[in-house]
This record gives sequence, structure tokens and C-alpha cells, in this order.
Amino acid sequence: MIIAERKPFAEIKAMVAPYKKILIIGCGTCVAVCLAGGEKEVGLLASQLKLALGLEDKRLEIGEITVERQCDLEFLRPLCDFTADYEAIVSMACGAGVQYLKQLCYLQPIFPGVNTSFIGVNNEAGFYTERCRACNHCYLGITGGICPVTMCPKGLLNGPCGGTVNGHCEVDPEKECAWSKIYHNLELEGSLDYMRRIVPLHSHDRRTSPGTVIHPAFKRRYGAHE
Amino acid sequence: MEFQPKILALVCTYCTYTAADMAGSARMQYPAGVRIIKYLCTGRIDIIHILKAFEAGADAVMVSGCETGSCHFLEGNLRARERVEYAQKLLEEAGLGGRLEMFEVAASDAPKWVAAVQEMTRRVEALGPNPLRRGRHLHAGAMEQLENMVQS
Amino acid sequence: MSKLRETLETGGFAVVVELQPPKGTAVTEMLAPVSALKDRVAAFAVPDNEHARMRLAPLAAASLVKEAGGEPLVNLSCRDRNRLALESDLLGAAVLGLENLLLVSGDYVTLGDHPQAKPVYDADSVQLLQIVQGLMAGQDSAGLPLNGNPAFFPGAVVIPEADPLAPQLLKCEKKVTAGAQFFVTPPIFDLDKFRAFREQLPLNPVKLLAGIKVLGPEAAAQAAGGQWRRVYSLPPHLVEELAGKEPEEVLALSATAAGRLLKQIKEEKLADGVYLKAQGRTDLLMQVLEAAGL
Repeated sequence: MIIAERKPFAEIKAMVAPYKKILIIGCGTCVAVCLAGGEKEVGLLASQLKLALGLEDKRLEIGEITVERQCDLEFLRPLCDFTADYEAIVSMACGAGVQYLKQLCYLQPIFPGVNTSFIGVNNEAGFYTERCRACNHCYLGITGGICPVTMCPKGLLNGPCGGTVNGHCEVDPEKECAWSKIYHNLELEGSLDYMRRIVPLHSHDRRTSPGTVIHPAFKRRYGAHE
Repeated sequence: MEFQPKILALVCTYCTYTAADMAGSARMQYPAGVRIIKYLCTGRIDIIHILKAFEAGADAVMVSGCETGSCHFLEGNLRARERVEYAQKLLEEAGLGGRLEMFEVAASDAPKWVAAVQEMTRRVEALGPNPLRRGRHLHAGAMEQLENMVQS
Repeated sequence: MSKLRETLETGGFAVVVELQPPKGTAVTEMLAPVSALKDRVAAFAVPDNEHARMRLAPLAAASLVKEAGGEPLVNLSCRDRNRLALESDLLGAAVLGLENLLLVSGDYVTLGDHPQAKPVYDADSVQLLQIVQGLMAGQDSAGLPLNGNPAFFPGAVVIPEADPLAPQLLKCEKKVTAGAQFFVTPPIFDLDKFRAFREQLPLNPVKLLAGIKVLGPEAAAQAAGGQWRRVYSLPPHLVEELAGKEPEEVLALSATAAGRLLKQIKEEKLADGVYLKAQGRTDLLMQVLEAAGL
């Protein structure tokens, strides 16, 4: 899932400074799981803003609402009824959700309440680690289930660099060298042959910016868009 | 009007509340500005409760639970500790730092309860009232109006 | 043909000396060892933004080395350029008469002096060797034909004290398949470990240059303070010998130690040559060569 972190309070406070009536919209999927932008976090942010602005003798009317997720029109459409009542919106969704919301509420400024960090996993409440870079060319089958693009800072595809010290990465001594782990896993699996083959240059064109995916079953429907 | 500190205490049933009760039975004297909210366990405290307390005008909030290792619900007080620390950070960011504290008071430790209340009261007297409380007084004609309504 | 290749292929002992390109345009100091040593060494190596610290480009530096009468060895790192730029620079090297290459992954950007730069690593060292192979055969990495083929003598790095060693050896094999003709190691200080490594990896007919380094006062202090985090180890007696000495004394003692190591490696035929690092200083380099009897 997507992991995000709530933006520093000072930054959010500065963003909403010019307004008198704002709506904070939370997202109930990824950012709720990583405790950055769900219903609870919306409540905490609203409370913090009221406290901080109250100390400056300012009044800010804050609406709070959380939808299932902001990357699906189905959940955004019902918001149209009342977003127009507000001068500005703070969206706690990841970058994708913020942009999608903006397409809908194009008349008001929309401010992001979180910084989107990465695609990762939920190790434990409050502890999340990156696992995938969405490179659109998954190597996991030939690397013993460890992503060389994400877990190796250099994204090497053919084995470790010369910087491994005691099996740990030159970039972060606390992290095990991804290629040491890959070798170990392939050895356990009995698939070291994968590592003996030279992996060719990565095709970055599979990951142009912005990317588009049209499911094969829908090619006819969206054919005109190609 | 002299400043009367309003301190909200979020306490757990099994330890701190019992201690506070005992302090009362023993007629121990301590500042009267504390309002106690009784939780079954401090682990039930949500951070939003603390923030809302300040929104409502509390001058300080005390969270008080069992000593580490003695929580009736095993880990509730540990979670409360983490949440109080995070709440302290949020309050600091918002500009209301220094008014939230967590204490550990065992059921038999009435004197420790008293000491905790005294400490928070001293702190509030030094910091002054919650600035959000200013401007929340009734305007001139309101008292008269209220009296009329009550009498009729 | 490259003088370095000739030396190695005819069984000679190749001494390669590393220069230090400036962070700027003042190249006199960098080139000083060339005029002093060009008749005593097989090649002068120019690193590529070593340790991710921005320095004068290796192509330019190597070209100046050639002008000054020295045989250049160009290091090329995967960190800073995408495949287009790498191929373009390789063609550039070829037309400037620079044949000797050392292809490395390159230290990560956060280790250097531009930690916020965008790391590239479009190709890794194996893929870069393949690109070189391809260019020599007349095509670029997209499979398009070249108008004029370059000739190179490509090399790569191997780490004898890698831990774990197995994946490193596996990658080394791939580098040979991809066309590496010689290997360079990080600085060698422990000959026992080096001998053990040589047994595991004979490498014939591919050549091996053992790294030799004159340790500086900073490194000596790190080692003495237990802060050693490198891919090569230092023997305790050397750490003791250098501990607490004045900087110039550290360098002098290191140079003598380096010279002795070099001599022994040559006598025991543990390598086909050496890659000598002495902060690019002519005086230190000469000290090492004297101590080695070269």
C-alpha cells in the first residue's frame, strides 16, 4: 500500500492561513492504515488548527469528512454536494487522491496534508518499510523474492557492488546488502542459475511519466484513448 | 476575578482513581481545581480527547494511570504513555506546550496523587490560563437575562 | 595497441599509478607525476568522481595525461550517466585515443559531496562491460550500427575480502563473460588473505592488478579508533605502527610499507601488476617505487 507521513504542522497552518472556512477530507484506505490521513488524523489536525489559530485570536471554521478513498470517483462524487461551501480544502490523501479530488473540485485550492513516501508494507502499527518502486518490470521471480530496484539503493541487476562491508550496504550500514540476501534466497531455493545469467539493461520506457495502464479486456472500450 | 486553574485529570479506575478516593477519605488537602474523568484504563484514552479538552478551555490535562508493569489490563498504561508523548508533540506544534503530563500513581499511593495535582497546579499558575479561554465570558446583559429566565 | 595491454599480455609486471583530478581547472598538480614517472609506469589512472566527490571529468584529465606523454587509464562510473551519455563518452574516449578503461559501479551519491544529487545507475558494471563489448563489435546498446568502431582494453573491479564472497565471485564471472580483460582490487594489506583469494580465482588469461595504497593520516586515525569500515582490512601491526604519528610521518611509513607489499606481490607473482594510490603525490609514489626496488 501507499505509505505517507503527515506534513509538518507549521506547513499546513501556513497553507490554510488566508482562509476562514476550510474542509479537511480524509482517506480511509492506505493513509488511514499508516496513521497519517484517516478519520482520526483528520480530527487531530482539525483540533490542532483550532488550538493554534485560537491562540492567535483567529477563527477558522473547519469541516471534517472522510471517504473510503480519494482515488476512486465513486467515493468522490458524493462530496460534490457540499465542497463548494468551503473556501479551501485540505486533502489527507496520497498524491494520487489529492490530484483526483482537484479534478472534481476544480474551483477551490486543494492543499495536501501528507507527503506521499512510497509503496510499502505494514510491519507493525507505526512502522512501515518500502518494498516496491513500481518499475513496471518485476524481477522478483529471478531474485529470490527481493526487489533489486527498491532494496538496493543503486538498483543493480547483476550482483552486489564493491561496497558491501560485513554483508551490509555501503549506503546504510544498518541495512543488509540486498544482493547478499538475494544470493542467500536463491541458494535456499536452489535457483542460483538465475543469478549466473546476465540481466540486460532495464527498460525505463515501461515507466514513462505519467504512466497509463489499460486492461486488455477494456482495450475496445478505451481504444480511442490510445 | 482571581484565576482559578481548571485542570482535567484523565485517570484509570484501578490505580489512580482509587488513590484519589483514598486521599479524599483521608481528608488530604490539595488544590480544588481538578476535575476527574474516570476511565476504566488509561489505554482507552484517545489523543483527540486530550486535544478537545484544551479546545474547551482546560488549563492543563493530567493523565494518570498504573505504574509500569501493574496495569490491570496489562499494557494499557504503556499505550497511554506513547499517546501522551505524541499528544505533547501535537500540542507543542500548535503552540500549547507544557500543559500535558502523564503520572503513574499506584492504588495505595494517595500522597503521590496529591503531589501530582500540586505539581500541575503550580505549573498552570506559572504558565497562566489557557489563552483560548480569554474572551469567553458572558457579556454585560447576559447575566440579567439568565436570571430573568431562571425566575420565570 | 594500449601500452598497458601490451605489458600485461607479454607477461610484464604492470604498474598503474592513480592521479588525483582537481575540483576545479588547476591541473598542474594532477599532472606532475606524469612527467616524473612516465617511463617507469605502465599507465596513469584517472578516477571518475571518486567517492561521489565532484572532480574534473576523467575524459578531459586522461586526454591531458596523453598529451603529457603518459598512457592513460580512464575510470568510468555507472553512478552519474545514463546509457546514452556512457556510450557517448566511450566514443569520445576512443577518438581521443583513450583505450584503457576501468568500469565501476561507483560509490553512492550520499557518500560524497553532492549528497542530494540524483543517482543514475542506468547500467550496472556488468551491463556497461557489455555495452563496451557491443561498441567494439560495431553497435550501440539499442542495437544500432556505428559509423566507426572503437577499440578498448576494458577492466573491472573484484573485491577479494568481500563478505559474503560467493555473490562477488559470481558477479566476477559475469564480468569476464561480459568482456572484462583485467581486474583491479581494492588496496591489499594482508598477503595471506590475498594468497587465499588467488587460489579461489586464478583468473587466467584475465589479468589481475593488486591495489596498493599509501594510507593517509585520516585513514590511520580511523583504523586506530576502531572506525574502520572499508572493503579491505588492515593488519593490526600496521595500525599500531601508524598510530599517533604526525601526518607526514604516517605517509612516509605507509609508503615504505606499500613498497614492501608491492615488492612481495611482484616476487611471488601474486598479481600481474599493481594499481597504486598515493594521493596523487609524486614524492610518495617515488618512495613506494624505490622501496619496491622498481
